[in-house]
Amino acid sequence: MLIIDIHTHNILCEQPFKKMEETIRLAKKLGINKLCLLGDVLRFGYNPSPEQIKKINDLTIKLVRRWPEFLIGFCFLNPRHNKKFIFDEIERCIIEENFKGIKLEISVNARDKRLDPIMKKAEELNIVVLHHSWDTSVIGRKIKSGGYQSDPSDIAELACRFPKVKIIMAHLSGGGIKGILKIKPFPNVWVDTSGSQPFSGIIEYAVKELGPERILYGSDIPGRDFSSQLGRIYGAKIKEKEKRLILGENAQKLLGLKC
Amino acid sequence: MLIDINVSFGNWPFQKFLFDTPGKLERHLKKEGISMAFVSSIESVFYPDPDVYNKILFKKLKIFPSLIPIPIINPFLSNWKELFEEYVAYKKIKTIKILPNYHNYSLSSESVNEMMEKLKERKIPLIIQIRLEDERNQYPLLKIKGVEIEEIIKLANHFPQVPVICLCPYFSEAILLVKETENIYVDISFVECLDTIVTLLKEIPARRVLFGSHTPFLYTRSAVMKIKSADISEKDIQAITFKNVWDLLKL
Repeated sequence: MLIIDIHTHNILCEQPFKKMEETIRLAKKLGINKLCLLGDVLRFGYNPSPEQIKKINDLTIKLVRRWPEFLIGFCFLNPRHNKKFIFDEIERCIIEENFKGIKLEISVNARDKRLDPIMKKAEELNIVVLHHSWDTSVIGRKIKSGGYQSDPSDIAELACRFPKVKIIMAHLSGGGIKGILKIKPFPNVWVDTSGSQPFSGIIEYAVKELGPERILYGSDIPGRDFSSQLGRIYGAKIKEKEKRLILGENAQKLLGLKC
Repeated sequence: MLIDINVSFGNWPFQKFLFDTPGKLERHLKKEGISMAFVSSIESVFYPDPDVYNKILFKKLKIFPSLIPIPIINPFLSNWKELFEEYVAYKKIKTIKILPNYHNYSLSSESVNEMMEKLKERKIPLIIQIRLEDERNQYPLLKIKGVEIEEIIKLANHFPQVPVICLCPYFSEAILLVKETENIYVDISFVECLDTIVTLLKEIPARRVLFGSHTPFLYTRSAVMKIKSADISEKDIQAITFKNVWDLLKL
């Protein structure tokens, strides 16, 4: 069975290669075939500088070069930066290094117009945008240290404005049942299964409402564990065929992978 | 063998559970490889007198020997002492559970001290449900914080003879609870990081860790897979999966 983890983070640390080697060992042990690296997105807070963005993406590039068969890069961006820097970074990561997507976190809300150039570029290059999301009625919209949370209604608005861009909404558990309903009308939105504890019932609900084709397995390691996060897919009361789609086949198709 | 210290039965307004009869719950747990489970009533969390639903649970589980009921006690209700004696007399009862934050009291209160004295006298362990949900996933108008870790540590250190089993601590909380005391045990249901069990055992000994799945709130398989994927010694696996709870509850 093909297993692709769409939501993992590589961490800026003293020995990133050693750390990644161990992560890959643990992933392989559980039958995972590929990891999508989204970068160390919270290392420098909500508003990383261009230099910090480059540092984060540099590490992803190095790791993907070292394990090209196992790792898939995503280009981390801060929409507050000027267009030239953003486009240069997209050129460097997507065109030159063959990264498969863009990662956006909490620098601005998903409704912010500063996302527009990024979204237009994603549409032009036909690459996916993976955006952080959580239910802001529980955790609030404005982050204390600065920055903005986006919730499923913000992702839905973004999807409505850019219907040709394939968007992955992060954190199924974070958006919850209401989040599933918010993105349901937008076929260009997928959701990853990461986020929080493996609360039961939500996979079954998402399959029923969205269809299994719009759900992607994601773990959010290293804050989470492959075992526990795979457990929510294996333990869900859904068909085996649906599990196969969620675990890897959907991601393979979405990212255009030959594996 | 897997013994699960953290299972509930009943209805919860914010999740739809599949196991609406004890038979279904038992079959599900067996399928996951869990041969014995300690079960509390979910309705006892909110119903003003937990005893009403404790008794309903006792009755429902009577014909399911692998499902052992755990009564929930609220030491701030005037009937708790008589109920405690009644529960202890019921031979299946091995421990009692409290939910200080759902029942709105502090662990540093006199009533809790009285309860601990009784537990000490009867040599019965206490279970503290630190939380039922991740605070970031709660219904926005019903936010219940986890029990203060410092309060639990203080209580456990004040009654070192009473084993205290803490359910659903986060990773850092579990480490603190065990390191700061001699008599606290933690379950693995909410403990999570990359390579959870191996990482956890670098910090605290296996003899203080218990298998708990927090079924049906969480997917049972997640806790099972944490254990099955862990590269640890057979001795440590046995300690976590059944031996510790077996010894603690004198099964």
